[in-house]
Amino acid sequence: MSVLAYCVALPGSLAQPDNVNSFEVEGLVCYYAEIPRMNANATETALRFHRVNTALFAAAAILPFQFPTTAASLEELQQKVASQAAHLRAALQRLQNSVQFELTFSVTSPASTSSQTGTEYLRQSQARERQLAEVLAQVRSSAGSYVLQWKERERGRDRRLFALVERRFQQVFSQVLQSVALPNGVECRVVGAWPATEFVDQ
Amino acid sequence: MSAQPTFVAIGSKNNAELSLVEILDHILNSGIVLQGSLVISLAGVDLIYLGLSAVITSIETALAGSAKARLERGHH
Repeated sequence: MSVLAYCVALPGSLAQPDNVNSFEVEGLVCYYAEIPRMNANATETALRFHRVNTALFAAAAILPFQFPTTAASLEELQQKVASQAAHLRAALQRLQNSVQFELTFSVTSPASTSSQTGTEYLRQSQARERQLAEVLAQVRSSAGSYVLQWKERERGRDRRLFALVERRFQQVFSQVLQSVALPNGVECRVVGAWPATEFVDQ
Repeated sequence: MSAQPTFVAIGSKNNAELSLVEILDHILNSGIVLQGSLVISLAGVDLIYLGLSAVITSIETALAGSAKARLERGHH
């Protein structure tokens, strides 16, 4: 039997989901479940983790743990959460009215042919980078008035933008994004709203 | 206000539920990491990535199958 950590939240605002336990430590509530062990049902456990955190997040700000964060015992989890409680509590207080959207930009132009030279390959890569940079700037400009903070990451050949948005503006932010016209050959997937974990200093 | 995660494609009005792949990708790659001796279970992650591969493979297989069926219908 081990303990699977779901998330932490500020006390007082959340109902306890079925079959989920919690403890309070240093001004935080930590939600967890006891599980036999991570086995062939790992995907099912992961989906339950997602459902529980989504239900909690619908009501208030939470900070989910990276899945699957497990401890050998409840005492061990309590000690670890307590050791970082001040940091987590400050992050929750700062982010309590915010949500996070994730925008993934990809260039979908036809892949280069194998007969090209190295120079041509590098030129194509430069052009792709330039095109993505222009699109990101356009999106930042169009939706920027609803965004408290942006973060950017590369992921392979894709670019990822994380937008920190006030919870009350999440729908209008989605609508603004949908009105942005992208150039041919560039796609963007937007997923959100999520808990704003990307904006917590680790 | 509810904060149910949804999928949105820029430039389109299509919203849809998140796919299993997107959910798993998200929870495996984001979230708070507790420092110290807590274990992020490697076995569990491996199993999920195996599961993800199976999902992706099954989708690819289904797409390939439907493309083949379309081709066959086109010949008749």
